[in-house]
Amino acid sequence: MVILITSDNVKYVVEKDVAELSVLVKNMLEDIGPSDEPIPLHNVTSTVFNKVLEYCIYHRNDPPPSDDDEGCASPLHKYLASHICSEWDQRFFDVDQALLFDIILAANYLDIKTLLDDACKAVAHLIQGKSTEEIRGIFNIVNDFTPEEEARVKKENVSS
Amino acid sequence: MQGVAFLPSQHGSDDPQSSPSNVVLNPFDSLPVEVVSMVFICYVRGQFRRGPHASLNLGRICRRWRQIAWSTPHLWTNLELFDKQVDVKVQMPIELAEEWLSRASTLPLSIDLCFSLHPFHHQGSGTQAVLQLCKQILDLVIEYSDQWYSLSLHLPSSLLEGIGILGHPTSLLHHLSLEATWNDYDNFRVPHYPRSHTFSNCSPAIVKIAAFKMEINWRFVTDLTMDMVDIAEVLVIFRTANRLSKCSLDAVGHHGSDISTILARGLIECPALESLDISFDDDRPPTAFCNAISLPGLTQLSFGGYDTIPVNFFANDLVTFITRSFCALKSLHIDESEFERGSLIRLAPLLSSLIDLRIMYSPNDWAGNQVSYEDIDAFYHFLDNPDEVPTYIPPFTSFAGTQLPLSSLETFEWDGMKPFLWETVPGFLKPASVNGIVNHRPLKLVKITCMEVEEEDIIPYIPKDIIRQLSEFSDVKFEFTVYQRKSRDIGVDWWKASLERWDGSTDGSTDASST
Repeated sequence: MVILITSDNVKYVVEKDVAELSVLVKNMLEDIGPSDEPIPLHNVTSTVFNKVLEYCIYHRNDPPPSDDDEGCASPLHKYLASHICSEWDQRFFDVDQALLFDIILAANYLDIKTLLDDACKAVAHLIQGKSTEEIRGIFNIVNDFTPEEEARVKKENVSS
Repeated sequence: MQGVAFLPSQHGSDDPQSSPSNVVLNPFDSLPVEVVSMVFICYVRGQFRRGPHASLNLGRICRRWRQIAWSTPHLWTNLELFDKQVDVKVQMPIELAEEWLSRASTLPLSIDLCFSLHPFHHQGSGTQAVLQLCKQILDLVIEYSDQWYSLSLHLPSSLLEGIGILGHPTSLLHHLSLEATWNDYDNFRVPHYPRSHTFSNCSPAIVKIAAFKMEINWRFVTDLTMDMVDIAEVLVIFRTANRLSKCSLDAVGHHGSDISTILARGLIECPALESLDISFDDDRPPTAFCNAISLPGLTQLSFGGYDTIPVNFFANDLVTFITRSFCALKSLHIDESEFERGSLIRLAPLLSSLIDLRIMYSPNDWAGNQVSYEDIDAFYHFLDNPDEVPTYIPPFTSFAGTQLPLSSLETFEWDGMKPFLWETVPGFLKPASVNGIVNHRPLKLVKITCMEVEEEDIIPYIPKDIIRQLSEFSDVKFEFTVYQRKSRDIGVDWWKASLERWDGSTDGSTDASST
């Protein structure tokens, strides 16, 4: 078992194979060797870590992600790979926007590749099929283009 | 590039701290650039069915998104340009293509250019302008030949021929598709149509060619699709393409080339080929093909005439081909109206490994090889009762005497413009004794589709007794569909229609007409 402490001082006792889905934790365990010392997770709150843990427990037996360069895959293959296929994963990521982005930050910090990939797909899904204005509205993005830049963008729009 | 990748100093700062309204509310500002890139890559991949230019959409949101998108090479590895998208007045596509490809950095590229120059889209002087633009884009694409992973060019043949020698090696090229536009097809029939040597040093695995001749290194091709191809070309390719495993050849014809010298070099073996779909557009190539080629690994064969062009095939040719190839066919698809009578009965002894048999019956009115319904039905009588061989069939020479014809058959599909002889179907399923050995076919699906074409082709209902017999085979799926003249577009479930018919009738065996 591994003891992990979140930034709000909540202690978790986690099975080692689950904890080691995080490359950060795995590397720390290797560095400190056999020890009962708790591992601090400075950048993750317990609210977010609950979700991360739920994901890791569910996916603990998944095969490791492939390191193949996807640059050569067909567009259809890439398209299929860009979607979250499992119903469980779809339900898991059906959370409010703030928590979704916190999960991304936690996955990036903890270095959990599959969680990061899937969370990015979930965010990308929010943009799919949306217009420029709709995307800006969803994420409260301010249009900060200068008039010259705006003209250039419009010109691209004409030709594509 | 300079004009497109806006610099932060031009307008405020890229630092989210400088824009108080963005700090809290825009969640993307909290993400590192590399994570935003990942989101963008997922977005573009998920958008590929919605159009080729999803990457550009990302650059229209705000300056930070634009900078990140522009500096993420994976977003720019697929370039698709179609003539409908090209506006020659704006003159943007060439500039767009230049920027697009340069943003991909050194990643492998998938490029798809489709300029059919169809008169419907481009008229008069506009055609020349698009042609010129197309040439410019093609020249640009050729500069990136060392990054080609997939190249698909659907262009007028004059442009394809004019590509010339490539300046870089194409070692990454995996998928090559070259199609001359449709209005060049007539030119292709000229015997000495120019042959392109541009790709002679390329070694792609997947190749598609239409109405065009070219040299490539065929040794590495595993998957080949060709349209409008000369039989001589096919023979040369099959002699060289040792790794070819899947091949689809449409409209194979004899375009005046001399095939005698190719045939004189002996039998051509293509050892790895497993799946072949081939259609011919005249009578001479099938015989040349069947007598010149051996495909020992072949398991799937579709063999017939191209589209509605009438071509007559001879069972002897296919018997020679299958026997000489010594292949264990698992799937066969043919149109029985294109063969002389008795062909399927003659082929049956060679098909002991066949799992999937799909037969069409779609005769051309002008086909010279007219076969009567009685001749066609003889094969189904033969399946029902293998001892009933018509007298006009020559004695079998290669038939394993104790084996049931088509003894491995699991799927039987028949689709034809005539009535089917329902009475023979139970015989496909029942155990049969051949020279004292009882055997049965492991059928799982029997799918029969009939279409009423002529007035006299009224499809009879399935006799009540036949339905009763077939009902005993509960593990076999029966799909019987009829398209009647009165409602050609709607297929009728003929099993159900027959049952309804007999429910209101006292004798199903005598009244079997659908009228």
